[in-house]
Order: sequence, then structure tokens, then C-alpha cells
Amino acid sequence: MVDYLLGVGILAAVYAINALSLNLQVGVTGLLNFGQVAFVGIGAYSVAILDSHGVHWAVGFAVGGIIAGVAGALVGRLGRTLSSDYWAIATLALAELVRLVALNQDGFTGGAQGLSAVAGLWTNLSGTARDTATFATIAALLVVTYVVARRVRNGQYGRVLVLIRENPDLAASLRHDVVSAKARVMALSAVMASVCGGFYAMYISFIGPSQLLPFATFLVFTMVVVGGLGNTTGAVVGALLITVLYDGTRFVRDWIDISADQAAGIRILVIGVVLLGFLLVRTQGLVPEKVRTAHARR
Amino acid sequence: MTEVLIDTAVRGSIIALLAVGLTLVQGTLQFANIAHMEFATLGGYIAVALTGAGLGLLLSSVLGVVIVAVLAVVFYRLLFRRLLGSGTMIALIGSLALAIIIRAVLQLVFGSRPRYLPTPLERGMDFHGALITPSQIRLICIALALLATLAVVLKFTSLGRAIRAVAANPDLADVSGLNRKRVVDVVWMVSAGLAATSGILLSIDSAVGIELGFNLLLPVFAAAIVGGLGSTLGATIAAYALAFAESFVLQVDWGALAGGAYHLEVGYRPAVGFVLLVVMLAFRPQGLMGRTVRRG
Repeated sequence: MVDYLLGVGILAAVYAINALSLNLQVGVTGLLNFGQVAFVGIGAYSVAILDSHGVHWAVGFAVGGIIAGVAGALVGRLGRTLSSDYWAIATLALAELVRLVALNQDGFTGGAQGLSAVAGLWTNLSGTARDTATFATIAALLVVTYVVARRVRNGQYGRVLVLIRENPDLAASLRHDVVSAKARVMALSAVMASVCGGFYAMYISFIGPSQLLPFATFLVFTMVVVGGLGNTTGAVVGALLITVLYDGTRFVRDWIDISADQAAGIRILVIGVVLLGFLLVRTQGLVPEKVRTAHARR
Repeated sequence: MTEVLIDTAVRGSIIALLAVGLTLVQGTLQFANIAHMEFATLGGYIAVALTGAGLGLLLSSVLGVVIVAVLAVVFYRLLFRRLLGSGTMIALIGSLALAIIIRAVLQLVFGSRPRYLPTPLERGMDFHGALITPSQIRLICIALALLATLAVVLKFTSLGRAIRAVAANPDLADVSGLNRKRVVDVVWMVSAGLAATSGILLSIDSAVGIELGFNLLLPVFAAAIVGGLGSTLGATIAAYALAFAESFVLQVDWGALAGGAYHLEVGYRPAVGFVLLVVMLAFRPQGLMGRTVRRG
């Protein structure tokens, strides 16, 4: 039972980092990134590929972070002339491109089989002790990410980002560099996502193209919306709830007699209904964003 | 080369039927409906279910199109109107959620293995050295006829004028006494009907699977965006151009340029659309036929 809870805890923390990153983009800045999973994949594959060549994981994290950061900045710049819905589709296309490369460059990425036996964390420990140490590590990482995300959101830069979301023309007319602000927030979020990806690959010691499907992004979107778009704490709350829900529905076949295919369908259906329900009934999420009005400032 | 042309005509028709509907909805509501492609999948599965219940192929197909068109209006009235009230971003995420839900429900009901429509076995015909089946000829003809009809309706009838008026300036259309709600309903019905037709034609040509719509998502969006969102003619041209680019890129012996032999892997076929899309978005975001981008 303890092991199971630790497992869910680790997964929830990994997703929470991912949700914090997506919240900075979607919630705070209004950048609808449907290709979030690509940044996660870049981090995961960097660690896994370098590990398979005997390079230390720390180098993998650094390389993944740099590639993802540059990719994020470029994707952010792509938005200079685009209205937000075209940009959203472009990000989805880029993520699919990353998945196609992972699937087809067999020599490099292991193709459809993916890369397994990625070096784990705390290999000198075993059993519950190892899980506890892993959980402590990811929890620490989550706290750092949370503090960074919160500082960004509540600082001067965060207020500019919110203004870009609410009224880009006004932001530009106040001489804020909208394109550069978008590129920077994308770069920062991409680095967060790649760290999350690298950790994930080490934790389950595997990464493959099947984990880069758009549904992975969709799951994180659900977390951010349920938690409350734009609210940093909400992203963590949403990640925890949806991880428990999505992981819990793994056991659906223990209660009702259905095929594996149908069970997979039900798990996806539950997430889809939760997201649509929140969008329709409680758009602001469980922990709504607090936008300070101009005269509240003294 | 004939092979490339036949392939282009078939795939281009499938993409064009979907892209035209996507662009119409985008034009009237200023929102990109990601669930649009699922209307194609739904059409295919409904036709499968109806033929399974003993109806003829033609009747099932027509009924399938009608049912999907009605369903689309229901979705619009129950979901999208409300979602659009909270902003286009919420509507976009909501349409993604609806797409996921539709796919999950279809997987629950039909399982994830592909299903086939009961089509008679046909002998392929030799056409200048390449093979084409009668059902492919039918597919191309039906698609072209529908696209031409749509163009005529949009250009010359009062309904078409009303649709174009709402697309150009919704508020002005309202003030001039057009029934905007009715126009939007009609647009949803027409675009979903075209999508379902595309899905059924594709299911007759090959098979219908859960991923039918999703696999078309990026080429269709690429065609709609490259054509200039809101422009049906642009979307049609872009759809065929994209289909040509896709099959051309795979046929060309790229190695010959460097003196070897290298063909791009078939797995990269969808990548052609992505690359075209991203290049287009970076350099000419208003598309081939688009008006200058309006920022809302």
C-alpha cells in the first residue's frame, strides 16, 4: 500500500511540474500549446539517448533543457504574426513531427520500441527506501518549480504576461516587447517540461513514441483547467486530482467485465467528460485565478 | 507519375471536403473546431452500423450524412454556443475535449479494430499504367460535384450571400436583419455533412478506424490554413496541392541528387503537411487566398 501511494505520489509530482509549465503558457499568457508533450519528449529522449551511450544523466538533463529551451523560444517567436488558434494547431503539428522523428529514426531513438533500461535514480537503494528517496527528489524538484512559477506569475514579468493574454494590443502600445515576452515564457516552460520528461524517463526507465501521443498533452490540459487556468496552486491541485483519477481508473476492469480495449476507452472518456464538464460548468476551475484590479494597489 | 496523380485526386478530395467545412465554420464563428474531423469518423461508423442492420450501402451513407449533420447542430447548440460565450480559447480546448470524447465512445462501442463497409469486389482499371478502382472514380466525382455545388451556392444564392455576410462582419449582418442563428445552424449542418461524406467515401475506399479523423487533422488544418481560413476556394486548391506534395515527396528519389538512391520513409508522409503548415504560418499567415489577418 505504501509503495502504491508512493508510486502515485511520484507520478502526481511529475505531472504537477508538467502542469505548472503548461499553466504558465496557457493559463497565464494565453498561449494555447497543444504540443506540450514535445518538450517533455525532448527532455526524456535526451536523457535516454545519452544514457544509452554511457553519458551521465546530469549531462542529459542539461542537453535536454537547452534543446527544449531553444525550441520553446523558436515556437514562441512563431507566434509573432499568428492569431492564437493557428498557433495552437502549429504546436500540435510540431509535437506530431517530434513523435514521427522518434518513431522513424530507429538507429537513434529505438523506433517504435523506444529506449528501455534507462539508468534509474537511487540505484544504490532498493524497495520502499528507493521509492521514498525518489519521491523526496521529485517533491523537492516540484517545490523549486512551484517557487519559480509563482515568482514569475506574481512579479512584474507575470503582470506583463497576463496583459498580453488579456489585451496584446494594449501591451504592445505600452512598449512591452510582446514577441520577446512570449518567447521567454515559452523557453522557461519548455525547460520545466523537459526536466519533468527526463525525470519521468529515469523513473520508469523507458521512453517511447507511444508516450508522445497528443493524449498526454490533453491530460495535462485537463489538470490545468480543473485546477484553475492561471492559478499556480491550482495547477498542482489539478495535477494531483487528475493523476489519482486517471491512475485509479486503471482498475476499472476489476469492477466491470469489459475488454482491455473498452477499458482504455472508458479511461479516456472519463478524462474527456471531466474536462468538458469543467469548461461548461466551472470554467474558472477549483482554485480560480485572482487578477488584481488596478485600484487595489496602494 | 500517373500513380501520383490518382493518389493526389483521391486524397485531395478527402482532405478538401473536410477543409472546406472547417474553413466555413472558422469564417462564421472565428473559431477552429478540432472536433470537425471526428464528424468524418462518426459518418463512417454510422454507415457501418446501418449497413450492419441490413440497410443498403447508398441508403446507409445518405442517412449517415444526415444523422451527423443533425448531431453537429445539437453539439453546436448544447456545447459550442456556451463554450464560445467564455471565449475562443475555451471553445478551442472544448472542441478538443469533444473530439476525445467522440473517439472514446466509438472505441467503447465498436472496438479499436478497423471496420469495413460491405462493398462489392471491383476490378481495378488500367489508367495510363496505373491502377484505379471504380469506387475511387466515384469518390473523386462525388467530391468534385459537392465542392462545385457548394461554390455555386455560396456565390449565387441568397443563402450563400447570407453566409458570406455573417463571415465578413457578424455585427453588421445582424443589424441588416439577417437571421444569424439560422445561418450558423446551416453552416454547421453543411460542414458536418461534407465531413461525414468524406469519412464515408474514405471508409468505402479503405476502412474506418478510430483514428480516421485524427489522422486527417493535420493535413486538413494545413489545407484550411494554407488556403486562407474562411476561403473555401483556397482550401480546395490547397487540399489538392498538399495531397500532390505528399505523394510527390515520397516518389522522388532524393538520393539521385547526391548520386545515390534514397527514398523518404513512408512514415514521414504526414510530415509534409506539418512542414508546409509551419512554413506557411511563418511567412504568409493569411494564407494563399486569405484576407489580411484579423486579430480579435
